Amino acid sequence: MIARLMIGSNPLVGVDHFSFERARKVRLEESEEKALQVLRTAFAAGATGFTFSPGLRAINLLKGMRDSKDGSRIRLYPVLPALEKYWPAFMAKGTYGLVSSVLEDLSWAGKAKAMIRGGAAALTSNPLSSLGLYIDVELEKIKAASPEHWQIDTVFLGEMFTDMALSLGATNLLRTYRDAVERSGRFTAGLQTRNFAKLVAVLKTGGWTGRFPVVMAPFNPIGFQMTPTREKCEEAATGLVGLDVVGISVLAAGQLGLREACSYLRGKDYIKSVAIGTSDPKHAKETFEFLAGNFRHDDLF
Amino acid sequence: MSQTCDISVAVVGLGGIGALHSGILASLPSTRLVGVVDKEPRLVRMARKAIPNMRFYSTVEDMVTESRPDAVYVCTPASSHVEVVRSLLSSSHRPLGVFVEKPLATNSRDAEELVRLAQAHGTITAVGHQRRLTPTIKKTRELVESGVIGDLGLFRCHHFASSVLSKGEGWRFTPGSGGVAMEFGIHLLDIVIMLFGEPQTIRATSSRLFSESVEDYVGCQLGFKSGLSGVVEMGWSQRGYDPPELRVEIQAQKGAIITTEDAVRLLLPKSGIGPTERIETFYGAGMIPELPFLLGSPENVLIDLDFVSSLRGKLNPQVTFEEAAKVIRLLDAIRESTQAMF
Repeated sequence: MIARLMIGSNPLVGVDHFSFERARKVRLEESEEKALQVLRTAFAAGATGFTFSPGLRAINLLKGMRDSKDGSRIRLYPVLPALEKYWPAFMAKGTYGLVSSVLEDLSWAGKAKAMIRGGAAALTSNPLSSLGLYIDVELEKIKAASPEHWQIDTVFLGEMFTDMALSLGATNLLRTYRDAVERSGRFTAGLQTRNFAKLVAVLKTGGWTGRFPVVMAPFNPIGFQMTPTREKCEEAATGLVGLDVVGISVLAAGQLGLREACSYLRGKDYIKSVAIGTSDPKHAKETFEFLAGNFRHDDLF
Repeated sequence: MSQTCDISVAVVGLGGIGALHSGILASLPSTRLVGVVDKEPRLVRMARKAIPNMRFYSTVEDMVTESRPDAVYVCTPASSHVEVVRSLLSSSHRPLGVFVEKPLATNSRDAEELVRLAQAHGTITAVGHQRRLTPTIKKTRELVESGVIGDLGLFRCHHFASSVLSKGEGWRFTPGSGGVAMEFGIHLLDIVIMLFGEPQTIRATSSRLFSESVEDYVGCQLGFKSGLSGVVEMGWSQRGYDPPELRVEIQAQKGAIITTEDAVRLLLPKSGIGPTERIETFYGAGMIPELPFLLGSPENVLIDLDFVSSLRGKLNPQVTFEEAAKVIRLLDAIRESTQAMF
């Protein structure tokens, strides 16, 4: 039973896994007002959450909703860090450059916290403490930009970091991340991955399945972005107790229709939430009315 | 190679691309990441805390002696490639294979030196020109080689991005090791060589918009022995290209191919009433092969898979030092041509 219906920010901010051309068009031609209209339409049609990477465009959307005195009660599902912001620093200067960029971006309040925690030099030598500081600062920024009644629910570690930690066996990074999120407030720590089967195997081996209850991963009938295969991902999820999967890429970046995607999701008990993005108000209305009519289960909120 | 048939691999350089290769290699079946080298002590200290199970070294020599890898990835700045590869191939435990991240070298002389070094030791070599494995580029090559559009007449292509819109710092903006052609357009130049071979004539122009010492735009006209000619443009200060666009348009006697990273469109003449062209579209997202693990883009994983399987079969990977040296020769010729204009 689908518990959470989230609208995803990617198409609103010009991120498209199927078409760079479509992404460029959004960035060049679509207005922020239209993106806000998409959000309002989605929430009116039944979306209950908003998942986003907190780059400049997404933060501006939150501010736009706040300034329009939006009265809805929406749950927020940020995915950290904002790759559009920090990926160039990572590719140009590596891990050290990434940490340095995050520290350079800290607000005065963040810099004060950094000093309390031993100064920037100590943080750059220990990326795990930098992570805690970064999460604090990013979540404060999100809270400040959001409408009054919107609440942060689950904070996801983005796929690049989750999957890098999985591949290199840096499971203490995942543990530190979870601790840092829980210390920041009453939030749940979630993981986003494009390697669901591997993640489940690592969580099982570490006895951690109950400690990361929410995992965001691609699920669709054609196996789009499901690594290594659709079958392996489904097999990994089957029979898992206490794991709440947020299905993303459920429309396979536009390759599938809504009915086709929904008939696949029905019967997948482990998929308790879905996140779908759109940049068109009409499509937002059709999509979330259809999903709310077919799946939503208010008791789970 | 070890008795378990695993391939043991080490990575030199823990910058962005080194970290990415390390992550991918550590996840590939029957492949073991046995060591990572970086000379920056702060970075090594930081990495040791984050990844306690990994072995980190501060010198190539220490890593080779202790880890004895079957293959080494060199992910340091291009100006250091000759020195690092020479050190690897003269070590007591000489690796079977060496993968060098692109560009192979900063000039033809160094590229040829690397080719000679590898040939002298019988090393299996590869270079990180992973765009050859982008599904739409791979499909374009298949279509060209199939002859479906006939003899090629002309092409035009570009790789544009909006990534440098202010003055930059570091080696990407230093003459000799940086600039748009070396740092960004090199993928497009490699694709041009893969599709059409090495050009005979080159006439290039360049301009600066934000950078003080390197070019932000390069355009060149290329002529080939077969009579084929084409235009190549590379720019990282082009507004309106976020995300970037890589586009190749090939015109031929029997048809045309228009390729981007999104899709390949094959245009063939159509007889009868209606549109004069029949268009067949192949979408990139539908052509991604099954991968054991996904980190970064699919082509990042595919190029590592290609190298590791080449080591197993003792075969040449898709892009060897010899092949990548052609790209450096083309870059040098472009540099010469732009300098001749001023």
